[in-house]
Amino acid sequence: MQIWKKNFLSTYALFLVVIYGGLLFLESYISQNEMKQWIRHARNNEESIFYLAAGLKDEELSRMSMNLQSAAKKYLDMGIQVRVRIETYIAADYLQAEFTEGKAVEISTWKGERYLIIQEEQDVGGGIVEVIYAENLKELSQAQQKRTLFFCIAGLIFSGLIGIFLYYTMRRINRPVNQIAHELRTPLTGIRGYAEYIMMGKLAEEDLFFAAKQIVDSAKSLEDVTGKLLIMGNVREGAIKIRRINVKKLFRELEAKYPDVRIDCCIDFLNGDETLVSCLLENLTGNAMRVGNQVKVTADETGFYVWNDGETLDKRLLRAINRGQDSLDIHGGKHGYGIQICREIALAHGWKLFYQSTEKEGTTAICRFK
Amino acid sequence: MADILIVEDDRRINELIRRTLSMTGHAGITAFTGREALSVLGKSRIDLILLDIGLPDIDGFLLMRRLSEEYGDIPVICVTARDEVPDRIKGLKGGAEDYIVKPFAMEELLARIQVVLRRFHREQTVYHIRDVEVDLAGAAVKKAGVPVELTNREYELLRIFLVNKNIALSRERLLDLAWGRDFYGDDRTVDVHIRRIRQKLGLEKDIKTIFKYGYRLEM
Repeated sequence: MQIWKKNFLSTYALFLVVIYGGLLFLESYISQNEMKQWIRHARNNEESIFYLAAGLKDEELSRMSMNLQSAAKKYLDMGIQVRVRIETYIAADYLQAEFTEGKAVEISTWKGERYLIIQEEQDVGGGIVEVIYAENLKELSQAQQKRTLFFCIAGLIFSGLIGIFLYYTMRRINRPVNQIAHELRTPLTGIRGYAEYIMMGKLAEEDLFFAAKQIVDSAKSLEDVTGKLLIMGNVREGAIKIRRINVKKLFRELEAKYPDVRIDCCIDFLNGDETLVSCLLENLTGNAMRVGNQVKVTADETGFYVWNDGETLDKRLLRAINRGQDSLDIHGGKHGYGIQICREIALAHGWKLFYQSTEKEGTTAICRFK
Repeated sequence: MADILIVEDDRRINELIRRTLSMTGHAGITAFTGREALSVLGKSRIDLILLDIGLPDIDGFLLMRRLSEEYGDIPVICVTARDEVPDRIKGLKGGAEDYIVKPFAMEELLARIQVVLRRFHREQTVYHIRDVEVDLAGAAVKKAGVPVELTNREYELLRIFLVNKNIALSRERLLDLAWGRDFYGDDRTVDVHIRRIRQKLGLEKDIKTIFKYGYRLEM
């Protein structure tokens, strides 16, 4: 497995632990608070029954019993079971849920449902009043279950999104390394191959010269790649020197390097890093030259435009390039590294680099100044 | 001798492969794009295709699929800078006979070409060096029409020279190829065997000694 994939998996696992750990903590915190509130509310109810019973303790038995029965009935309609005992007389008893004697507050399960049981026994004016209050927690349980389900779904969606984001980010970070390796392989093959060619064969003088020239050219390509690498390193570290650049001079240099390119420079000066801007223009022009017969480079107040009449870029590829993905595939998978550098240079200046490609108008690399 | 189509957009590498193939007696036909390759295949008889995956116009894997549909009998060797395992699997599953990653040794490329050509029975089997005739299929060597007896090792060395004709082979390489990597013999073992081959077949002028390196069979 590639290192970046391993890194992705370990980071993702860490994220999952954090996400689900966080959700678990949140869920238990909310549930605890809810339960506290529920108990507080139940205790209030229980206390009001207790005070009612305490108030009616000295009343006539039938009246007391009737009042307490009627109050207990009202509670029963709300799903609350109550038993009231005054001394040895059971004044009201709608309690069915099971409970442990002597426990002030407990949660017990009866017939598959959870009940909150509150027991209170006090000596009121020389007589014992006992109230046992049992409230069905079905509503609370349902709310908790719903919330848990919601957290699970939210966790899944969130972790999925994080996973996708992390995967593509890590792949994108890793891509330049792959591209560099790819860019280095071709000149290395040239150097090694032509050196072997010289060693292996019985060559005429012109063949020897040809092979030697290829080795020199391949070495130059290698030098070019390492130069680009250094530039990329500097750009990434933010080591850019913004100065006033003579754009006309840059374009003259570009014209000297690519005599077949049409040049149109409408601005004199620009603020930026001269070396990097020159590298950006050269890369974009070089790429355009590889795919088109005609190339035009323009500069105006809004940006740089490098147009070529080459084949139209596939829509999917164009979208991917403009999103900063799959730049390796542009121009046959050989020069994507250059685009990567250009994008980084543009970003370092606060500019935006993107491509437009239509059959009618050809392909244009646009570096827009913001 | 085989006609080998080299589909590689890097002109330098394409030319290198063409020249190396030409040294060993193969004919290298160059194509720099997928479309050019298809056009060549439509016109010429090709024994083997060396295909770079990163082409400017057509994705190499797509091209390979098309080649296997239209020219299924022509073996393909992928020559590419993509060295990741999924790419190799994709290449081999897509119909490539072999997959070689840049940068590669030219000797390795030649050896792999030879193996694929042999597998497809497109390998040259009869070689002539002046009055010496070597039939690799029948493992028979004749000089002026008279059979010559060679030991197994001598015959193996001769075969290696023939399939790598015009290429200088180091003594170490010859030891590896003829005796195997496990053999811990002296370089002089090679010299002794070469001397015997030269004497038996009268190839003193054809098997050249490359000073401080090895030998080359010049044909």
